[in-house]
Amino acid sequence: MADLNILYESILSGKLEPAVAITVEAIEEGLDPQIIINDFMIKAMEEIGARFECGKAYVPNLLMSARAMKGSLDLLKPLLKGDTSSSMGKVVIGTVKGDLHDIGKNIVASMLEGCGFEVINLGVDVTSEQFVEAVKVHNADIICMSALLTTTMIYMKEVVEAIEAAGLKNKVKIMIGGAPVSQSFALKIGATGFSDNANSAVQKAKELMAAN
Amino acid sequence: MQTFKLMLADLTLNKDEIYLNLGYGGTLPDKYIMEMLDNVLKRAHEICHPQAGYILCEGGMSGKDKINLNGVSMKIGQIIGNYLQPASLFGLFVATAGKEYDDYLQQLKQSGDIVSEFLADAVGSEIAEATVRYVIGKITEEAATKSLFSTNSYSPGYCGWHVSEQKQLFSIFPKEPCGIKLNDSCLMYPVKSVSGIIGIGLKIELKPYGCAICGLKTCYKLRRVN
Repeated sequence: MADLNILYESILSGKLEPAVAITVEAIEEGLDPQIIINDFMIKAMEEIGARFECGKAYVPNLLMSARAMKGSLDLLKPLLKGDTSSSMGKVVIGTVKGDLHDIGKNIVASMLEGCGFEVINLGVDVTSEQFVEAVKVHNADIICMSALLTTTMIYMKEVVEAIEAAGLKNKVKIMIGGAPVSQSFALKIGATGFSDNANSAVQKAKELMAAN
Repeated sequence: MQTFKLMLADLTLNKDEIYLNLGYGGTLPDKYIMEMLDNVLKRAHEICHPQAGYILCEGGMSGKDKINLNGVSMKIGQIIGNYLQPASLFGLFVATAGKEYDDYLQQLKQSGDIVSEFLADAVGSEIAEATVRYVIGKITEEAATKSLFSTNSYSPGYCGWHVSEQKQLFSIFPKEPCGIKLNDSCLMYPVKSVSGIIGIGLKIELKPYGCAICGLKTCYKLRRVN
């Protein structure tokens, strides 16, 4: 019988192969995918997140756990088809126009995916028009914007204004992140949320989805 | 322009800086991450071709926050202006981990291996910094042959020198120095590149450098250890 505690430990320690192997075993045995996800996989991600927050785990650990989680989720998701809980929500993410810094945004994207969000990664140097278009095309719940420079963070305001002008402000939540931004800056430009690391970005995204 | 085409073996990488870039403040990555990091470093040694170059310009400060070099005026800000004030000669430099390394980062990104991408990004930052140390060493050597001393180096984007001024700095170099291009926002391609200035003169006293003099509260270097 599939030992789901091993699945929990595999995700917690970021081991993809054993996580996938146990998941396959659990599926073959007909275990409820929602129980596997909620009672073991999400719990493991919550634990690695808690360890990160108190300095007992680091970004690579978070990413490895997210990778293991995603490997298992990819197997389970098809079994949840039609179930509204199969996705935590849909996120459009990008680094704003003028800024080429990629890695922080990719880390957040990876963590969101690992935690069950569907992520559309628009890359770097993303214009307000591209953000608006992506929200419309993908029917996104959340926009995540990133910037590493004080000179490029101001473009986030333009994106917020474009979202408003497109009549999407009440439909989509707007999150921002990156070294120069802060909660006060988020409030100032009309963004819904702010986070200063990948783990808190996931928590904030979950909060925003729960508030919907 | 004096240029240097390098191999990674020509540079001295500081692994502690890589760990800091990865968010490890005062501790080491676990065995598995160390192995992945070793693989990234091995690959970097195979493919990376860092380049650096510098030119020396005569010139001087104009007021407290501007410098005039080769007929180009750059607003470098008062913090850097204060440190460069005693200099009579200036070394302008660029340093890059190179296009090949950028391509490697892109490949990792395409593969979806975010862990390796993150490790390679941190390694790339340190390669760029090590290349800066190399070219500064060359500038300092040349200054020493004239019995002159050098300041620390300063870069656009830090210590009050706005990144948009990079356009002025690059106008002094030959076109696309060491293969580095600027985009409309004055950011450099390849992304793992650094530009900057170093002051040279008789009455130069090397000052403490680092986050203490900059005061840029939003700098990533302050956040990386938090």
